[in-house]
Amino acid sequence: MLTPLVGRLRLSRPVEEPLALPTLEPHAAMPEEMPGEDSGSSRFRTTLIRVIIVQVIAIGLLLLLQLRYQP
Amino acid sequence: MHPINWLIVGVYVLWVVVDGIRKSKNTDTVSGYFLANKSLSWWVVGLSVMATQLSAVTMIGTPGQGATDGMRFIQLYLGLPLAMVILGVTIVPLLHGSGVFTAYEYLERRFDARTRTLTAFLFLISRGLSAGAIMAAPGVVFSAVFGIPLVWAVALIGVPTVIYTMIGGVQAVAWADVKQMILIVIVLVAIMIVIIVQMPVNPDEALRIAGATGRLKVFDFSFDLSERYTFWSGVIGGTFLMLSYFGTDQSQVQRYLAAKSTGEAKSSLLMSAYWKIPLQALVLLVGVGVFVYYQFVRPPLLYNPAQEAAVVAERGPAYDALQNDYAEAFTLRQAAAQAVADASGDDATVAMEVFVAREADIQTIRGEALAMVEDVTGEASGDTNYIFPRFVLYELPIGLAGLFIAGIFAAAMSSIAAELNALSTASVIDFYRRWMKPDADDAHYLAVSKGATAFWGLFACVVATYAATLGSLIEVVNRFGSFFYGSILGVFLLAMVPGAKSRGAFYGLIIGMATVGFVAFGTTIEYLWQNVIGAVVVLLVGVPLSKFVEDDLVDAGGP
Repeated sequence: MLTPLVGRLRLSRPVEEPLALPTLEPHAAMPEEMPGEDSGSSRFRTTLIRVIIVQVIAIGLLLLLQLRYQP
Repeated sequence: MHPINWLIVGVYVLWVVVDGIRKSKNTDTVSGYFLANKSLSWWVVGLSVMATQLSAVTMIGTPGQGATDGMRFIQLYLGLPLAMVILGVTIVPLLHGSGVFTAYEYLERRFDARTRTLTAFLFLISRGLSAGAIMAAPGVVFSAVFGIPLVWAVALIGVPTVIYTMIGGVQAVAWADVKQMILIVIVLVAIMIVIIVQMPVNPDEALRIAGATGRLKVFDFSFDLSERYTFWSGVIGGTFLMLSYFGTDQSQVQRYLAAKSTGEAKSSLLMSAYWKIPLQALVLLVGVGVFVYYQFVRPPLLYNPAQEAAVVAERGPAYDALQNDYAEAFTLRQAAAQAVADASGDDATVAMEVFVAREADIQTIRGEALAMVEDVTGEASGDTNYIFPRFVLYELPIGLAGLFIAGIFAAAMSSIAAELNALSTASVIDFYRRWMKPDADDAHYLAVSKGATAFWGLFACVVATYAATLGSLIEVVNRFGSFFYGSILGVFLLAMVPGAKSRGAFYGLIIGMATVGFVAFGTTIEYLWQNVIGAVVVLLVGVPLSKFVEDDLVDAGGP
């Protein structure tokens, strides 16, 4: 499907890659976990659960406000 | 304003600057200056992120919006918690662990230099101008309310901010944000309490009055792409907007890059997920409270004193006649509002209908006054932005008004400081160090970084000073910014697609922005959806381009 496009973009000479740094594939670009990440990840999960609870309560209260007072 | 209020403002601003300078310890390296040597705790970063997002526009304009339009604006933030969770498991670990200074630096590692340079350039242009716009908003209001020249108002906000940002780097910015966020919340809660205490009706009756005029309609479940704030545009479009803003905008990214660890960076974002909707609800409810308060205390016909003076000078008799009509209409509406508060059962429905009709009369008269403003001054009035400052200065007790003004300073300074710090980082890391002087030592980059902060501070002050006369231009700039927010997010999403290549990212970004530009000018689709369109187009273009077009072909067409 893209063949015609390729034809139009083709140049007669190769052009050097302008990068100073190597191009990394996603797996290579993914960082290593840092020391102490276990506690951080655990906190993330705990906080995530709290976030969900708080949002459900907040949106529920706003919906109640609308249902109760909005004619 | 009362001298005690000025004293509170002065002491607060002095404290922020002095403490910011004290926090300049350990910022004698580029890493210390831009990333605080990755030493900040999650709660410091979290409060800093929230303070950055809560600008003076939020403090001034959003309560006004709550007073005139009600709670529906909150739908914009419905996607924020989801966006934060997504960022916590995708972009945050990617950026924090890769040792970059800017989000755009990562794009060079993953794709190529031109993608990095283009995205960093777009950031500098849009954020440089928006820093001016952020400074202009409170500057214009202060100028009108206190009757001081705009240049002074801008300098009052800009100079202290530039000083502590330039000297203290991200560490000073983050710690100042913590103080500012705490102050803002205290001020909002205090104002809400005062409104409730001073209102002649109880909270239940107040909510009935607000509800009668539709101001408590929080959610609109219709699926209308041309409606700005609906439940669906908030959940879907809002998620993409927040992913773009918190995931790819250097002013936000730089906060969590300064966190101690990836886990702390993730947790810092979840703090916004926690508090943003409740906080925004509080801001809007304060506005709704002001609306109800003004049912029983007659507000001015025009809230902007400078514009009112201009109208009186040019159209005195006509404006006086309008004032008389307004006084009569207010008395009738006040009685109708009291009837809504007192009524029950079937009477309540009738009372509400009468009240809505009286409110419409008031709005008609205000519409005539605003039309006079436009005729006399030749500019849109923007009267909504003056509702809350006027309320605070005239209706709140001495001290609390000073705290509010300090709160506006806090909100403005925290947002501007973050912008300046991020602009300086992108200028030095993505341009100066990348293209001009790659081998200099830390001391050199540090000096250039401080110079860049001062430059962007001055640039923002100049833009802010001329913002009043460049009103429509600023709007265009803001709209221009929305063209590439979603598209830049698309590039970061593409970075996570295995096999995605630089040509896909670069041309996907350009085609994504062009598509959003077409949608913005050629259709009625609202801006929240444009972020979705931008991101999706980059992926739809970028993935096949990466897969099917040979390496040396499209890259040759790059800059």
